Amino acid sequence: MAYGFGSLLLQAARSRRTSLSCSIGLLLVVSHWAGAAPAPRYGGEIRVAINSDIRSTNPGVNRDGNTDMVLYHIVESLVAYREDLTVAPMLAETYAVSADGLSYTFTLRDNLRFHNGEPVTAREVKWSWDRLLDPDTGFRCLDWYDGSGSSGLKILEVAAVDAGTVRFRLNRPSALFLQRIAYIQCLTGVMHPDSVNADGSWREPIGTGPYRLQSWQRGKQIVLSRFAGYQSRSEARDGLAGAKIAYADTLRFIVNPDRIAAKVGLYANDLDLVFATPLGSYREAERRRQRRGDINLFHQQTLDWTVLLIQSADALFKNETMRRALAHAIIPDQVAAFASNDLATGNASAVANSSPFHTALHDTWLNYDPERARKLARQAGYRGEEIVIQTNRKFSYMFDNAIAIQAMLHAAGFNVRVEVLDWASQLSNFFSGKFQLSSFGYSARSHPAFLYGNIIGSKNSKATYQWESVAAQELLRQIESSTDAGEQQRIFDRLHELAKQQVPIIGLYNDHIVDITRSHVRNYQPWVFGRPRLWGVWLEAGHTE
Amino acid sequence: MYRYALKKILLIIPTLLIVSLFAFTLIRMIPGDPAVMFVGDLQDAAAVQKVRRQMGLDQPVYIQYYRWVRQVAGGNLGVSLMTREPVFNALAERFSVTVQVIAPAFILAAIIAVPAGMIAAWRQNSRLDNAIVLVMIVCLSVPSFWLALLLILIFGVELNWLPSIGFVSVTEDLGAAIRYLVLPVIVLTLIEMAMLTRVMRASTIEVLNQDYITHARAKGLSESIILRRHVFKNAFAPTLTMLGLALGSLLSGTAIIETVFAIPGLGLYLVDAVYARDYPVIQGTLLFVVAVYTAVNLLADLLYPVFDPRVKLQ
Repeated sequence: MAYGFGSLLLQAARSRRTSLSCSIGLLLVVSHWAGAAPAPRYGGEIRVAINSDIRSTNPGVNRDGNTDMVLYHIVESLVAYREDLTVAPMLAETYAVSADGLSYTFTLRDNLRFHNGEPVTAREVKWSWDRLLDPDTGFRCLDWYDGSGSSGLKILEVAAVDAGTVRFRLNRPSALFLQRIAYIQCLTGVMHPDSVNADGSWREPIGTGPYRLQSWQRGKQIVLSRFAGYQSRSEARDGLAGAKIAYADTLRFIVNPDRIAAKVGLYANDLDLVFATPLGSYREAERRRQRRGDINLFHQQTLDWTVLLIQSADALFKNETMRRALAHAIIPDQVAAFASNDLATGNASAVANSSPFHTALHDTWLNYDPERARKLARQAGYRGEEIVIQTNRKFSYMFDNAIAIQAMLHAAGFNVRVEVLDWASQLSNFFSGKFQLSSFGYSARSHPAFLYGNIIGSKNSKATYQWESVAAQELLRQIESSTDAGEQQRIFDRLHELAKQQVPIIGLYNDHIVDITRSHVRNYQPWVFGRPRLWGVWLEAGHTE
Repeated sequence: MYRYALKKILLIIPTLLIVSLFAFTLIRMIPGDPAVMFVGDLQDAAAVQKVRRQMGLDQPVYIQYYRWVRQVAGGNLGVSLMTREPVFNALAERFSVTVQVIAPAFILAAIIAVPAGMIAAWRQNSRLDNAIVLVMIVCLSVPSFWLALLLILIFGVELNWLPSIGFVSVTEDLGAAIRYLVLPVIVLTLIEMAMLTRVMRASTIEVLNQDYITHARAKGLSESIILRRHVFKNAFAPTLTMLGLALGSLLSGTAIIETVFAIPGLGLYLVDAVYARDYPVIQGTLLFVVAVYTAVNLLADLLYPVFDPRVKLQ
């Protein structure tokens, strides 16, 4: 049955696309629209500041956010995310799901080539997946596919049916299988076997993307050059899917650890793009744009979710009433406004504002009522003991959130101290559960189920789980086996209602990013994942580097 | 002198052993887990345990230390936990970058500071002395990152004379390398120059107050000859010690400048490793810096009698 199981979800999600596009359009505020330039132009080099070097060139194996971003210009998967977070075919021309949901068949596009000129066939797709599923490879998301993860999903076989057809056989149906293949943090890029040495060790990515790896000078820069043999899709550019036209000859990612210094470098025309600059620099950059017109400024709501973690194993906070008291004392909208220079709005739900599953219900939360907070705290036995919020300075928004929350909790009669740690220490405490309250952030998860998957579970199995509710665990399991988007919507709604009762975590807002480009950079668009995509972007004629 | 040098060189071995022990234990006492940093935003506790095993961090600390020392004794500093890159190769690469920044800064600072300090002392309490002292105090007081950003704003952004960030090696393109090095070298020179000038001024003042200087003046020697022949050699010896210390501190202390100017040098490498809890990189870099620091100071010790014959190396 072509487009059976998976297509139901796809079509349901697509039906929301019109309204979603409108909402994204509202969220994406481009101070100066640079996309109206009529004539795209080939050539030149786009210089991008990255705040740390990439970890490796091995997709999905040794990675972080910058690594993913550089590598998704080089490798592509069978499917990819659209702008609206639905999944679209990428290397696949079409895909079909069997009636029982246990078999996914992908038909590859014609005339696809790897960067070494070799044709892309089912053999290379099978090789790429067999390699990812080999425990020796060290694929970071192996537990999503080998049956050891919480979903129990396992790929039983990847078979090359013929030169242009690949079939995946699963042990159980999964509503999230395609979402997982498209997942950016776990790139499942299809690569040529020459990407590894004869002994299986990693060499370099020979992918199918619009750019190929030219050089990597560790600690300094990564240079990608246009892949002349790239076969772009015919659809419009759409997230990581659709057309990918490489206008710039080269992309140069320059390691620049200090975002402010990078911004100054952009002003000096030594860079073309600085993404995710500190939100505090937005107003100054906006003044420069108005005064000189030599830069463009973008801000975009992302899927990153900033939260206040509450340690439910703590003597004070194991009491649900005490957690509810905290929630009544905190106004997510005000924390968002304070920490983001008025760019962000509050979101207490794990379903991101820009998710198609975010409905009006997810905008509801416990109302701000400091008197009620005092009363509930007294009921819970709180007698003014010191409460500690852990935070760090590496991510300034986490620090700002902590300060705002401390002030709000003080106003409601709580005795709160902010403990500033370095990020490594705070993250280790998160993994071991050594905190009382923690100003924290979850990086972008494309589907709410993945974020809930990080939050819901028993602390006995993982200390990182924040919500041990059996009912929530059952709802999470139901998402995996759901058959359509409507059913998923109902589950997410119930999860949010349950969160409002139990307050396992206090969601604050989806983080904003501010990207700055030189004005000669045309057709640049940020998106909800918060990292640049540089295909479809060109440099205006006549600019000097 | 040879025996002295040999003795000093042999002393480097226990020094490095002690440093290795400190570097190894202290970094492990700081909260934070490299496996957690490696897994990062996937926030998967099971993966963290797996990575800890792969990194050998599940072994007792004394076994980890023994393995590492044995490895280092064999000339292998291990591999980075984050990038899997051999630490020795990375150090060699990063050191070559840092040297290109600090060597010209060090030489320029010495060339300016020694005469400036002498002239200030020679004209003690004059307007010239006050001016030199004032400039040096300002240079010492200004934070290096602020000075760096100020210079970038003036020469990079407003005047557009020089590149604001980045690095080109002298082996790639000498002309471009010089353009990229001008601003970081100026910042480092100003900071090092200020400290050295003050040391040189103080030691020159001390020498100028000695009886043999009064005697030389009484003999009718010109001030120029007195300064060159009698004052310089005696006043320079303490500054030489300071130069050795300054070079050592420059090696590991350029992290701020490297961060602002996006220079992939040793300081930045170490700072990144500390944030990521990349133990082999931290340990290897500290050992390397201490080895270089010790070697430079040994050289300063050996040169000391050249300037001050009263000192005998025993």
